[in-house]
Amino acid sequence: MNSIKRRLVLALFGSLATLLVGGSLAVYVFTRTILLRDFDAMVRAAERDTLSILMQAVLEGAGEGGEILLEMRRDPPVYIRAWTKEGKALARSAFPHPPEFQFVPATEDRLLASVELPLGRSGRGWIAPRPLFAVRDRPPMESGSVKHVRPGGGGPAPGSQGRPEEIILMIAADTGEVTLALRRLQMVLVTVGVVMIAVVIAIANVVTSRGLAPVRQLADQASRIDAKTLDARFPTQGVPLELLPISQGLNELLARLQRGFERERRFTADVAHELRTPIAELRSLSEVALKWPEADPATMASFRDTLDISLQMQGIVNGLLAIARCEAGTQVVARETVEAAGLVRKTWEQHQQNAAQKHIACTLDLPETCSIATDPGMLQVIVGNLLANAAEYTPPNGMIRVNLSGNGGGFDFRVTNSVTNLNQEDLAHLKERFWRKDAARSSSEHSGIGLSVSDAFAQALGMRLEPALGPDGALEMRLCGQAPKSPPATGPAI
Amino acid sequence: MRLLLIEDSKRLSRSLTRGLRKAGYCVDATLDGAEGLWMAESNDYDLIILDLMLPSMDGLTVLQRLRKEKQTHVLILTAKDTVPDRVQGLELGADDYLVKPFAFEELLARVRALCRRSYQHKTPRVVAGPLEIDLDRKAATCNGVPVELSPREYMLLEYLALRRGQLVTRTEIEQHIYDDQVEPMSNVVDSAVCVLRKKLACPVIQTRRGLGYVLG
Repeated sequence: MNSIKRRLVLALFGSLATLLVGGSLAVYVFTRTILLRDFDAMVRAAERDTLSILMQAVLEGAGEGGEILLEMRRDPPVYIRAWTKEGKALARSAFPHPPEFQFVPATEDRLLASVELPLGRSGRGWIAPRPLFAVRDRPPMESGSVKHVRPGGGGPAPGSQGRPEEIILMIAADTGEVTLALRRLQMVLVTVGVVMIAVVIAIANVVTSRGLAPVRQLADQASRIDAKTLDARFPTQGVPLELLPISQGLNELLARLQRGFERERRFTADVAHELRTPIAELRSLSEVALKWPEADPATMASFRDTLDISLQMQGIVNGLLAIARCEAGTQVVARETVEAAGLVRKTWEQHQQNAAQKHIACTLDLPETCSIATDPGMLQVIVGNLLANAAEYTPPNGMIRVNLSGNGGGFDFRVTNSVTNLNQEDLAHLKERFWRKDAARSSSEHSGIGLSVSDAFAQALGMRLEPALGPDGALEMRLCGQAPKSPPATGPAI
Repeated sequence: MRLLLIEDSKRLSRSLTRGLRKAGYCVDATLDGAEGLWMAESNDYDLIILDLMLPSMDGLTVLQRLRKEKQTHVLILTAKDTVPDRVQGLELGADDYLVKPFAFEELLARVRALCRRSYQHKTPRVVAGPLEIDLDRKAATCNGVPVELSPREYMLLEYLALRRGQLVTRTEIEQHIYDDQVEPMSNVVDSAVCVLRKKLACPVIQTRRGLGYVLG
C-alpha cells in the first residue's frame, strides 16, 4: 500500500539507521585506532627498555652459552624474544610459560597485529631488526647457564669494545584489555543505536500521524460531499500551507461541479417544461381528430399513433420534471396516513391480467393492513412502476413475488421476479435515466425513466430503492426505509 | 355557450377551437394577451380559457385586469404546474387550473362544469317539466323520449335550460350560441327556436314577443 506515513517513517528510519551505523562505526574505528596507537606506543617503549637491558646483559656477558632471561614487570605483560641474525636464540622474557615465538629473518619493522601468547591469550607487537653491541665480545659464561638480567643497568661494561650488531627482536604485549574495552564499546554503541532507532520510529509514527491529521480531516470532509451537498467548501483559513493549494483546488472543483449540476438540473427542467406545449399540441390535435373522425382509416391510424407518441413523450417529460424537482429539493411531499397493503393490492390488479396472459406464477405476501405516513401519490408511482416492470419483463412461465412488511416503524416492500438477461454489472445502471438493457432501444413503450423516477421519489420520501440479484438469478427490487405510522403532529410536510 | 380561448400556440389554438366547436361551443380565439383582455372586457363569455405565457400581456396580468371589470369564469391552461403557480393563479381569480399536456376530455369536462357554474347550476341534470337534459351526455328527453338534436340545437336548448325561468334575448342567444359568422340582421335564432320546439314536441319554450324566450 502506498502510504505517505509509511514512506516518511521508513525514510526517517533509513536516515537515522544510516547515521547511527556510520557514526557508531566511526566512533569505534576512531577509538580502536587511538587504543591501538597507545598500545603500540607502549610496546615501542617496552622495546626500547628491552634493548637497553639486553645491551647491558650482553656486555656483562650474560648471554654466553645460553639464552638471556629478561625479567620485565610491565602491565600489560610484555613478551620478548631475541635472536641473532643467524637465528640463534639470544634472549627471552622470563615467564614461566615462555612465548612460542618463531625466528623470522626480518629486514624491517613488521607489525604483528595478532600474536598467540602463552595460555591462549592474544597479543600484538612487532618484529624488527635492531642494532646491539657485538655478541662475540661478551665475556664468556659457563656453558648452558642462563643469566637473569633486570632492567636498570647502565651502559656498556668497562672493557667492551661496543661494536653494534643486528639482532632480531620480537616483542608483543597482551591485548586482552584493549579487546575487552573495544567489545564493551561495541555493545554500548549497538544497544544505544537500537534503542534510539526504536524511539525515533515511535516518535516518527506519532509526529507523522499528527502531521497528517489535517490530510485525514480533508479526506473525511471530502467523503461527506455528495451530489446534494456540492455547496460545501473546504476551509482555507487555518489550514497548513502545504494543504492550502489542495483545499483551494477542491473548492474550485466543487464550484465547477455545482455549476454543472445546476446547469443540468435547469436544463432538464427547462427542456421538460418547453416540451410540454408541443406535446399538448400533439395530444390535442390527435384527440380531437380521434373524437370526431373525418378522415380515412389510415389517417385515423396515424392520429392514434400520434396520440400514443404524445402520451409517451408526456410520460418522459413528467418523469424528467419529477426527477429534476427531487434533485433540486423542490418536490412537494405531502405526507398522510396511507394504507400501503391496500394500495399494493389495488395497483397489482392493473397488471394482474398481463401477468396471467404470460402464465406467470404470482405470489402476494401482504399483511392485512400496513399503515405508513407518506405521500400517497409518490408511493403509488413507485409501487406502480415496480409492479408494471415485473409484469412486463418477467418471461412467460416465470415468477413474481410481492412482499410487504411494516414492522417497528420500518417499511419493506419487495418485488422479486425472474429475469433472463440481467447480470450483476447491470444493477449499477438500473436506476440511471434512460438506461435500457436493450441497447437498440427497440421497444417504444418504455423509455427507461421509470426506475429513475421511482428512485428519486424514494429518496424524497426518505426511503431507499435497492436492486439485487438473488442466487437463483431473480431480480429483487426493494423499497425500504423508516416509515412512521402517522404524519408529523404539525401536519403534512409540504 | 360562448368561450374565449386566449392561447399563443397556433396549433394548439386550432385544435382546441375545432374540438370545442365540435363539442357544441361557440369559440372566439386569439393568440395575444392584450387582444384577449379587450375581447373579454367587450363581450360576455360563459368561460375564458386562458394561457399564462402570452405575448404582449401575460395571462396573470390579463386575469388581474379582467377581474376588475368582470366575473367571467376563467380556466387557466398552462405548462407551469408547481403549487406556487397554481396558488397564484387561483388567488388572482381563476376558477380552475389545467396543466399542459392534458386530455381533451378532461378539458371538456372542466369547461362543462364551469359553464354550469356560470348559471349557478352545479348538477349535470336540468329538469323543466317533461324536459330532462343531461348536460354531461348532452342528451335531452321529453316525457322520457330521447330527442335527437343537432349540436347547435342542443347548445340552444342547453343555454335556455341553464337560464331556466329567465328571459333570454335574441342577442344573448346570438352571442352565446353563434360565433361571428352570424349576420346581424338574420333570423337564425327564431328559426332555430322554431325547429327546436318541433323536435321537443312539448311546450317548454315560451316566446316573449319583442323580447326573447323563456324556458320553463
